[in-house]
Amino acid sequence: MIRLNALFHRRPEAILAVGGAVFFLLSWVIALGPALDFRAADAARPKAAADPAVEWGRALYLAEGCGYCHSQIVRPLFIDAPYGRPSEAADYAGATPPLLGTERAGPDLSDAGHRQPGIPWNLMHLFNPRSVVPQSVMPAYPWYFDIVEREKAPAGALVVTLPPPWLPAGKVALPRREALDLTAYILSLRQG
Amino acid sequence: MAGSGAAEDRASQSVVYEYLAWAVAWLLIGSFYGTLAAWKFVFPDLLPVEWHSFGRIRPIHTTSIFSGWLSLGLIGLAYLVVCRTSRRPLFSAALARIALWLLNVALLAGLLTLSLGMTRGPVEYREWLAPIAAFFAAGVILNGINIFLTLLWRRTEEIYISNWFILGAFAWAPTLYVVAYLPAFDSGMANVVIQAYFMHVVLGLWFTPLVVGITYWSLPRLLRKPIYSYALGVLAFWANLIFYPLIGAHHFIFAPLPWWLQSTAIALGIGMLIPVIATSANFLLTMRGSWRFIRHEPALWFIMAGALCYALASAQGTLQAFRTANALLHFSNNTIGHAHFTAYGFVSFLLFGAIYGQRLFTAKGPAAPHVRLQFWLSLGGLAIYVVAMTASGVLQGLSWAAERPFIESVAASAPWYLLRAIGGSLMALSHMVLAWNLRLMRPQQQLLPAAAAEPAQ
Repeated sequence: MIRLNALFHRRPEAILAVGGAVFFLLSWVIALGPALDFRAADAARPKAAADPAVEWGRALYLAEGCGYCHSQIVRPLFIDAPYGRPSEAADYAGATPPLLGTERAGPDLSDAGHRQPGIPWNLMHLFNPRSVVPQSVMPAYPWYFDIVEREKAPAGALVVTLPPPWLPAGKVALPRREALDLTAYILSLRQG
Repeated sequence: MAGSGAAEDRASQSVVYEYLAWAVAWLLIGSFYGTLAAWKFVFPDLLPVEWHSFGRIRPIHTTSIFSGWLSLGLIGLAYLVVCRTSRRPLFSAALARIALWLLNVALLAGLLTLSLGMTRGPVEYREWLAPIAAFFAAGVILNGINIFLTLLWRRTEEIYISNWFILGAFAWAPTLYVVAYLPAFDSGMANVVIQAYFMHVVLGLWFTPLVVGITYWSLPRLLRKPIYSYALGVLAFWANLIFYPLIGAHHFIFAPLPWWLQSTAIALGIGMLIPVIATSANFLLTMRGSWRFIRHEPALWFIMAGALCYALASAQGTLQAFRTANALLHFSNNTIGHAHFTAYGFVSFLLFGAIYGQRLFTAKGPAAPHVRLQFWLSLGGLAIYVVAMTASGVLQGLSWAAERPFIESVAASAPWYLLRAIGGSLMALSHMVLAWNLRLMRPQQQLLPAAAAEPAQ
């Protein structure tokens, strides 16, 4: 033991080698091993067909960092009961990356498709969350909309109609492709 | 410094100062984004532009602070500690500068890409796209080589305890980074296993050992006496290495992860108290009999506050991993409070102390009242921040447990969000004072006499 101590006190390569080896071993036990197990289990699962609008919506959800405030993990606890059935490993198979999250500055969205089913509500909420939920602290995403004269909106198009101060009188917000895809993604989240 | 070339030694000093200057630049950038993010919780429609949207600036705040301020600052001071305790200049100042540019390029590219929404998703602290992370990893590895070779050809018999921690950090970081970016684990729960491991280990096996190692040098140097116990330092080194990597899963308690993984994380979190108490007690016991120094040396205030925050915040971390506490507090603002309690109260405060504590660059340095000003702004800001986030976290948890509508937890947090923004602004203000103070510490043209009172070995 004394000799070992002398070794570490005199040889930087000993600290590097032994410290590095211990860490590598622990990394296998705690991270690489369990991760490989999950990978094998996921590989055996059938792949779900992807809807391009939902896929693109998910990419926007990642880009805007929605997952920093909205978790997608239902714990087997009564506190989480409003968000659907408890999550399972299979729910995240193929998700790159999975969006469990660590924070709920906003509500969990695992079952958002059931909780907020309306496209119009989601578009208004995306345009400015405070137009429908006054206490909300969520960012607004006006850059996913074009503000146009009510008459100029294409016939039959889905538009956000809000009174001032949200929109100038006589104008509507025409959702861009991004707003529609993001809404499609949120409505695809179901964990009933 | 007997025997070392004066020019070489001056080059080493300049490298250290360059790292510190860039670290503080990133601290200012990170503080700007952090403060903006905090005020957005008070005024959600503040600056409604894409690249200043909360979801985009949050990772810019965290990566600028972690990879910019903390990593650059710690690497710079690690260079200083390694040179001083090896009694020789750096193996290569040029290599250190190349590494600094690799790190800075990664940081800047990370800032720009995250602003544009180019991210790997909300996988905390590894949001950067892989090529950017590769630049950063290359910088860290070059620094590691430089430090190792400096230590290998040291002019002292033994390796001072600081260097154990510093060497360890540079041995562990590359492994950690490679594992974090392995494409094999990009999807499914495998990604969560790696996420839990990465986001935790990067704190405990990169920031913690570097800052502890640096403090093992800066504290005894300020007190002009050896550290209380060398053996406690060695104990903390090994205990930290054994316990820390195994507890990352406490970020995902009740997730569909193996139960043993979660329980291991919770149980070994108790084990973490061993290195935490060993280290913080070692620092506090070194102060015993030397409290008279504290009157005239504000650097010691930072170090003492840092040692206390280390003990308190780590104990908090251990407790909030317990399943009962976790069920209530997880997902709440309490986590954000804890993150600042540790990364700021512990790591940044020890870093501030080490920066102010070394009188290498100039004989004079900043005036003590200016250092004290930063201390009170930093400490006051931190205290307000942590109290606000912890209180609102508990309120959120209670609201959820009472099965109230979700929006009530948001409404209940509103006054605390304001308080948090004020605390955060004070912290940002303190960093401007630091920048001013550091400017007064830049190396002088003529070589100063080598500092006296290296820690006894």
